[in-house]
Amino acid sequence: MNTKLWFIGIFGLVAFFQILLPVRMIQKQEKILNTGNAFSFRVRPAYQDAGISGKYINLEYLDLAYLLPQGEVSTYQMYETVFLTLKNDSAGFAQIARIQKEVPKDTKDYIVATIRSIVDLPPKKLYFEVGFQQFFLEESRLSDQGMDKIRQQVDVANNAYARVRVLNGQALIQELIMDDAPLDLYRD
Amino acid sequence: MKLSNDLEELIRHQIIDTHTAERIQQYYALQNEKQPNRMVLLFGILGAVLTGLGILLMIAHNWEHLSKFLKTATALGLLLTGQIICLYVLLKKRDSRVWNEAASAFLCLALASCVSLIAQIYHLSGPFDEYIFYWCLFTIPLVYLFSSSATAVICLFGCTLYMMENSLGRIDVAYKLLIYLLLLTLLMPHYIKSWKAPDHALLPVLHWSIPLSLLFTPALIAKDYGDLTFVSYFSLLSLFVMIGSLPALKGQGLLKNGFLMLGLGGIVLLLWILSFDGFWNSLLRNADKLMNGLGHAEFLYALALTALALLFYFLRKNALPWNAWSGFQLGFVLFIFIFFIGTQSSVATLLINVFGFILGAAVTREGLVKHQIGTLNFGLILLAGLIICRFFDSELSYVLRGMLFVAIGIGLFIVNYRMLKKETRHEH
Repeated sequence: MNTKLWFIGIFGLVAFFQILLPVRMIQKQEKILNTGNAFSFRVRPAYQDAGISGKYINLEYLDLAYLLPQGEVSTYQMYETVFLTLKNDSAGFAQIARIQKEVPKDTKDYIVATIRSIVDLPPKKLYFEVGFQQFFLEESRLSDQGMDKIRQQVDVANNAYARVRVLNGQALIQELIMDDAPLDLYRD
Repeated sequence: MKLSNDLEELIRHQIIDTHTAERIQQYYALQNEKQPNRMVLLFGILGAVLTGLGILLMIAHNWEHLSKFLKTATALGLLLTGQIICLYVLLKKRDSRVWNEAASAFLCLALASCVSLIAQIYHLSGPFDEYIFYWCLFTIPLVYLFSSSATAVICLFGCTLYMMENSLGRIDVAYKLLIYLLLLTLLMPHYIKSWKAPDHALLPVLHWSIPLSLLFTPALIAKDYGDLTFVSYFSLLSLFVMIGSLPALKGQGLLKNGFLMLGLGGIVLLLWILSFDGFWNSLLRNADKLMNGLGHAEFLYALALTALALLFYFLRKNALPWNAWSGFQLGFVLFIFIFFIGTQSSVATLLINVFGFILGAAVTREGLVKHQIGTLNFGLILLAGLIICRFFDSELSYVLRGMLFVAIGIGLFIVNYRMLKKETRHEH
């Protein structure tokens, strides 16, 4: 086989993997949506416009904090990566059930987080940062007025929560609920 | 035009026949095609990059009018367009450097755009290092398939980004560094091959971007045993000076020699910083703790860089003659001794200052002896910097400090003036 054919063959293989990369990303999203468990997180939303990457709502998770039991010696440090197993409280909102430094083996309902701050007053409290804090808006379906309406809705919302699908450390925001009504991304 | 005129004259004087003249013309035409004008090459690559970015901006501008399906199709379409152009180049324009560089760079950026667009369309926020890793992995083959240095530079940027992007800290930095070094190693055969091409337009860009990227590595892994980072930096910068001093690189001029510029500049900066007692006091305090760090990434990386620098010196000893610059090339060995003394005694502060002064004096002397004004000034700047640093330590009055600053400035001016005058006299 001549060199040109070799080059074309190798390029074909590289091109295949290049296409596979975005396709796998889409598949990953579908898998989380289809097989992950849904959790509702209480949030404080904020409207953001990030130019090229688009308009989105930034979410501050209100319950992403963990009180270490009294007397427990903490070995946690700032910016450390931890795995948070989730549970629902009596009102149906997500709470942290357990904090671990290793990947939990017994459940798929966990998320990956970084320790954002440590409050040292007894009892010691840890605050976290997670990867799913941006909820991009469906700009294709909304007019400028529709977008303004969402902005106002976000600004005045007292009671907001995000429904998040969780699967083995990966998480995806499925829906945003503002004052008991889902944020309508599809109509003005 | 000039060549054809010369050939006509040679035919007229019956030195060559028309057949030979035609063959000469064909030969030069082929050479020109193979080695395009640097400007054409530069604008070809810039054109590809700008086209890619332009398409991205156009899409972004109309983004809100597209449905999710159309957005996905556009993102994938951008990637497919890049792939089709590359296939065309492989089939029809294999010999054109401009086409190879531009198409490959375009595909490289198209893949990056596609991945980031898909992430946005499908709300995939969060750490992106995994995608950057795969992006690097799937673009490195393009460097070799198209022999493209522009792609190599973009890839290098990606590899550096992969190493730095660790927002959620999911992956151990030492592991990330290892992956980064592996990706960098994959780019090395292309870099080494480029050295052999005498008129490689993008080679200086590689000479700068590789050391620049590597400069981030010691700082990245600095965690609990940060003092060891200085050993890593000294060894790395000495290695840069050695690479930059190789005849093949040194002959290309200082501005194209990123290794030498960054190596020398970095060592001078390190000597100035280390001439203060702050670092050495902290080292003395942490000496016991430092012993526990022997198995940690900071120590292992410092050891690996030192071993690499030593190995490089012994392999290339013949190409690195013993002169005033040898202190910069082998400074890391001496620094390790001073570092160890620093763990036991505060005399290390004095030793590093003496080391800096000897280096500065040696280079200044070399500049004077060889009448090299650049070398002379470099040595003087190193010395002047060390003197200025001491002003901050001492309790001199502001007036006295000001007067010493003025004296240094005047001194530099006089030395340069006398040197220039001497040179002019020599020319006459």
